[in-house]
Amino acid sequence: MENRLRVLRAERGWSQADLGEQIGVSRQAVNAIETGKHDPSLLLAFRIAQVFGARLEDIFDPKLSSSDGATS
Amino acid sequence: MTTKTPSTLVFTILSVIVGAVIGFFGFSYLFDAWESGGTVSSSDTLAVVLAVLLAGQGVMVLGLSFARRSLGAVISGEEQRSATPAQVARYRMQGAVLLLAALLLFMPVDPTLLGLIPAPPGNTVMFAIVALLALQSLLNLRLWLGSDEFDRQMIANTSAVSFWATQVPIFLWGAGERMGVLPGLTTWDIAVAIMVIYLMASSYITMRHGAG
Repeated sequence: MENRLRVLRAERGWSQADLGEQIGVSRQAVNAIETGKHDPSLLLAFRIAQVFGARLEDIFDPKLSSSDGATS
Repeated sequence: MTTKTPSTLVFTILSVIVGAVIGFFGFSYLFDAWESGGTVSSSDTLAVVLAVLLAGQGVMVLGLSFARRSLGAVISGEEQRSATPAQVARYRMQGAVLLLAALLLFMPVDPTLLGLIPAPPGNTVMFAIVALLALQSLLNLRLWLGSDEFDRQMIANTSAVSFWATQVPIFLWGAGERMGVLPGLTTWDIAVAIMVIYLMASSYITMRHGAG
């Protein structure tokens, strides 16, 4: 799953450790999410969206195809 | 992403020194045993090597937990960020878990702990092992409860990989042993092999997730 976490974080001048502190995970976890090595749980994804004041779909792009059941 | 700060550089140098010292004692034990004509089984050799590696890691992690700024730099990759009390406590627990694991692997091989204590009776050693294992399990449980979802995901992935990587060879060996084409293994052989496989799986998963 792709995401805009790195861009949003850079816009605010936050380090990975800064963001990790705000959403309650380690810097390594933030790095893994940014590099697509870890897909956050729904709860963590909502927490991330809340911190950035954005909607989930503005941050995460699951790249759903029609065969995955996406309606768009 | 690994950021090199002066603190992490010092930590790396200290790690090499600590590793060399602990490695020296561990491998001296093996060489002494070999030179004195004693038979050291492959399992015992592996157990001592693992114990040395775990003890080295344990000392480094525990030592780092007493230098809050260096620990903060290692965790965050930022030189100016000191570790929080929760991070310090977590690293101390991790260090203790690693040292206990080293002790648990070494005690069955040499209950005198390199001649530090007189040889205790087998029952006493067994009782000590059970007590230490219970303590280690408790610390591991606390670490799990304090983990974030990324850590838990890595632990779960390690468990899945090591289960598969353990079950397959043990089944094949068991089948070969049953048919008389492979020699028999002791439970100690299997226990050490499982530990080796688990640690290899853990290293692989950690590297794959970029969490080293």
